[in-house]
Amino acid sequence: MIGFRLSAQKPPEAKRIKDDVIMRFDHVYEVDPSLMTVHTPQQDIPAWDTRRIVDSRWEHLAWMHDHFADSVLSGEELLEEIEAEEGKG
Amino acid sequence: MPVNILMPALSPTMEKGNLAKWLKKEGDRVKPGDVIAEIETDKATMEYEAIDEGTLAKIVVPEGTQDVPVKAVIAVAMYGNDDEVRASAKRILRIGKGSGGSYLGDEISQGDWASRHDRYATPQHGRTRDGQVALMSWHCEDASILYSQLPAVREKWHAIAADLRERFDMFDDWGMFAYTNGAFKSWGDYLTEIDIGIWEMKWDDESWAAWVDAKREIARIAIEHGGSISACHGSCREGEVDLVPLELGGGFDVMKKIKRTLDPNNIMNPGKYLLDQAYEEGEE
Repeated sequence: MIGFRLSAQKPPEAKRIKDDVIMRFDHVYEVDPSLMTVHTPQQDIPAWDTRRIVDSRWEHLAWMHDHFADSVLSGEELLEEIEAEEGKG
Repeated sequence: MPVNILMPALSPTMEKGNLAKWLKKEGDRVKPGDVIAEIETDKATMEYEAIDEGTLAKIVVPEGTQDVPVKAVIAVAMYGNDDEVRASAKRILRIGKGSGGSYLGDEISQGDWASRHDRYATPQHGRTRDGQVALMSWHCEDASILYSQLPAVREKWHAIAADLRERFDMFDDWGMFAYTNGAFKSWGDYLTEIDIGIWEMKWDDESWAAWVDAKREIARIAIEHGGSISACHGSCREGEVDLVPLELGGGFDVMKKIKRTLDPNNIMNPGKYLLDQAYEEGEE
């Protein structure tokens, strides 16, 4: 279906990560927009474009990993293992 | 970790052997006990086994080669496995978690190493004094420093960066790091650098002069603490290059003589390392 979808345009609400960092999409960290008003004014980016940039980045990383590594460990998986082990203990 | 695979001695008197056959090819995964090659002497044929889990990275001696000396490198394996890396990675993550840290996610951690060379060319988020983002480029000033001198050098280098930032709201101190340069080197067993962000759109003559002075001071402190400014990336740029004769002492005269001998007309890298001085009047 071609048509306007608000969710494709409007980024999710920002969560505050620390004083000068926010997050709208999981694991996409953004400098607090209030700190980018004078020398580096920001433009509105539609949600689909942020997702496209993130996906392109993953494509690049996948190529790098194929090129240089036999396998790549995921820190997130390791943390889940640690948490499961702590849960047992 | 790369490990050399050597021609084994099948007996105490064996000096040479024949590489009869490779049973694995380059790029094959191996695990302990896998037979990777057959070695033969005039007395016997032996199967050669992998000792660890890894990859056969490079075959140096092709099969069918006769009379390969004992202890010659016949192949290179990359040993190391998930079990080792997993254990150490988990240990580090536990330390971070126990210290109240939060993991930034695989996007950041995997992206960090993959993009580490982007930093040379990409403008980065620097901060002006009021915390606003400005696009700055990355400059690294480095030296070899003895471990015992690192704390003092660190304080003095940060003070230089703070002074620059105070006077010109276009410099940002992005921190220092150090890594080992191999122990027991009298001129500095650690390489260390201070990373300074510079908002280059703001350059003017005054800020440029202050930056060149700062680089010279950073080099002077390294030398005063017994370190070396030429042992890391070299120091051939305006500012720190002025101190190369100070660091090298009589060695600089030797450099000038060699330069004149190899390059009598000063056509190779003119101006580098102050070596134009080799052609000045009074030099012979």
